[in-house]
Amino acid sequence: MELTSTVSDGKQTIALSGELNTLTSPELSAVIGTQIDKITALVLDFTDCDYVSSAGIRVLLSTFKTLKQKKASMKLINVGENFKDVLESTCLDSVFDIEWK
Amino acid sequence: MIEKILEIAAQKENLNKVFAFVTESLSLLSCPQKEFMQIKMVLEELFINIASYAYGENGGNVAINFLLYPEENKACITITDSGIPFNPLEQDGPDTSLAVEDKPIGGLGIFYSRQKVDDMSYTYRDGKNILNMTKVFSR
Repeated sequence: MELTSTVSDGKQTIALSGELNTLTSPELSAVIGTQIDKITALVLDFTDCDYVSSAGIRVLLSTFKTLKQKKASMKLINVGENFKDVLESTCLDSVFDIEWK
Repeated sequence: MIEKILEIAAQKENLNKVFAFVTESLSLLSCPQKEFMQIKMVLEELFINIASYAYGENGGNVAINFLLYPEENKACITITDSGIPFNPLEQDGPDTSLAVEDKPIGGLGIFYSRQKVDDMSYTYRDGKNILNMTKVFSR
C-alpha cells in the first residue's frame, strides 16, 4: 500500500493506493497517528483504493471517534463501488461523511 | 468439478497466500469483478478470524477447500481449523441503532461475510470447526 500524506492549514489529506487489508491497515494507522493531535480536518482519498476489509474499517472508525471527540472532521472521498458495498453492508455509509466516486 | 486445496499455518502473515489461492481458484470460473472482491474479502475476514482467535501460542493450521463447478459458475468453499469451537452463525450483527461512539468495532467482518455468500453452514466434528459456504456467481 502506498500512502501520500499532505498537510496544509491543519488539514491532512491522505491518498491511498492499493488494498487496505489486515496487513496494510497498520500503515494507515501509523500515518494518521503522526498528525491526529494537530489537525482539524482529515480527508482520505480512495481514488486508487477500492478494497477495504474490516481491518481498514476498524482504523477508519477509531480515527473518526478520536477526531469527533476533539471536534475535528473526517471525510472519505472518491469512494468506489466495492468500498461502497462494504460500507453499505456494514451500515456505516450513514456514519461517515462520504463523497462517492 | 475442479478441486483446489490450500493448507497453511493460521498466521496473519499468510494472508497474501490466501489471496493468491482465491485469485487462482476463482480464475477458473467467470466471476464479475465485484463478486470476486466480495469473496476475496470473505476469505480474508474468516482466515484472519481464525488466525487471531482459534489457536493459542502453539498455533495451528487452516485448510481452505474450493470445489468449483464451471458449468454452474458455482464455488463451494470449506474452511476447516482445529481451534476452539466457534460458530460464526451464532454471532450477532452490529447494532445499527447505536450511536457511533457506542458502536462495537468487532464482528463487522463476519456480519459482512454472511451477507455475501448464498449459503453458510457450520459443523463442529472430530475437534474441527468446519464452515461450508456456497456462492453462485452472476454471469
